[in-house]
Amino acid sequence: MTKKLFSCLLALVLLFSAASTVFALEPSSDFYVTDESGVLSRSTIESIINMNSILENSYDAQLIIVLIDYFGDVYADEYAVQLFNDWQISGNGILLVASTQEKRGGITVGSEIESVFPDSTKNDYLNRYFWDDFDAGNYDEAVTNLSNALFNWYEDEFGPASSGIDGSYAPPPAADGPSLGTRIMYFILRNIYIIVILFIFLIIVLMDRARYRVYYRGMGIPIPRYHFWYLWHGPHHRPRGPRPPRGPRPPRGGGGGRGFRPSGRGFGGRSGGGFGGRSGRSSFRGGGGRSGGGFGGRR
Amino acid sequence: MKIPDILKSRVFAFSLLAAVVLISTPLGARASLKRASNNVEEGFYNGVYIEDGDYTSGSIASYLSDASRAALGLITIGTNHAELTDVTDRMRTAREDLLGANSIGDKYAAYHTLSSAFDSFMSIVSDLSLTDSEGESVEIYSELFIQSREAIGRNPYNSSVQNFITEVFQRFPADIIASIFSIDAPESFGGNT
Repeated sequence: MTKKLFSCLLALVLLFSAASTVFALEPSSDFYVTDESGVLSRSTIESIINMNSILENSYDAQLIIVLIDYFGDVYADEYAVQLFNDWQISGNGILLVASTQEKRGGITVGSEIESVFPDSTKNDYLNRYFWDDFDAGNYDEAVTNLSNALFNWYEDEFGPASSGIDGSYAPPPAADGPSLGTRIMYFILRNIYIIVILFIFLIIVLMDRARYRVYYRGMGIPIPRYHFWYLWHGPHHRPRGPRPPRGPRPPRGGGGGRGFRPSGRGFGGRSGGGFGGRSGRSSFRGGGGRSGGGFGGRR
Repeated sequence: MKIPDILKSRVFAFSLLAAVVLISTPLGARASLKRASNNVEEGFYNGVYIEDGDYTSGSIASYLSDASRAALGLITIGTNHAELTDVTDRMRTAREDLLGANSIGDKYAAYHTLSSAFDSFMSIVSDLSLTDSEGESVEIYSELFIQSREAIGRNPYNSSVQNFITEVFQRFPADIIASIFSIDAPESFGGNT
């Protein structure tokens, strides 16, 4: 009887613990970085802490990073909003929470900046700066790149930050983006149809030029300069007329007759023809301490 | 190759012209009607232009997004109270459906369910004892949801759809073109009337 009672009691305690564990996550002593998975280096954590000193000082904002092993049965967005509200993160704050084992998570922001940092922007930042490295297990790079990008967002939105308490944090410039070779490749791919049309046009022009040269070589005269607009009208496009009849034979001998003199004009009887060729500077309000409810990421 | 004489005749030329006109006119009308219908539906996502005031109203899609955010906030509170489990699940399911809905009709159905679940949630939560933080959160999120609901109710999108249907879609020759080519009228948020 006692054993049964004890088992029931234990089961109840475990059940209650399981139900409340999901949202029982307490912030670490650093507060700004809670690395339950233990995947971040100390230097990354310190960088985030330094960044937050500037964010707090300049914008009364916080950038909170939370990495856990599992969300379990809880949706990532519910977890994030609950955490944001429980930890009383500032209304201008941003919370990143992600599961290293399940590879899901996302960003939620405070109610004060929800209107200028919508879900589409959250997803954009995560796709550009976070997910690739995170999925590959490069957690330091993922967190560092995303946090730097978010810091730059604060500066773009609210103006340049004043230096932090120790002034030691200097965010790197915005990511340079793809390399020159990649940019050239993107340009070519985006404009491939124009390039193909230009290439075909070039081939046609070269073939026409060859025909032009053959035309004049056949006439036995020096080849004038070719221009690409000859493609539409040029001497070599006009059909050659029938040969003119031969003139009368000049009289033989005799006196007084004048020999045949050819005309002063050139051979052919036709002239060559003319040719003509990337926030609104909303007023800053502090406080709030509540998630705007939006979420960008993998639920 | 010698061209047949029939092809050089005026009768053939006029017949060819008539055929081209008869074929291209309905095709062109179909494209125009479809484009006009799509333009009206764009008002759901981007807002409706109000000519009198020379401004564009907020879009129903954006207000639905606000309602979804408010619902998420309330869901996180509801998970902490056993009395709210059922209604929280209903809100969660409705919000999922709303996020995953593709057509305007499906969005309306999901929104309607969400709105109903919200009302049930608020009627239950008013009798619960909440912490100060929870109470404040409920107040903020419920206010956001109610504001979104009111904005959706006032939105001129449904009027623009009704006007288009009455003035264009149901009149000659648009009604014939629509029936021949099976072109659907733009969807109103709440079903076509």
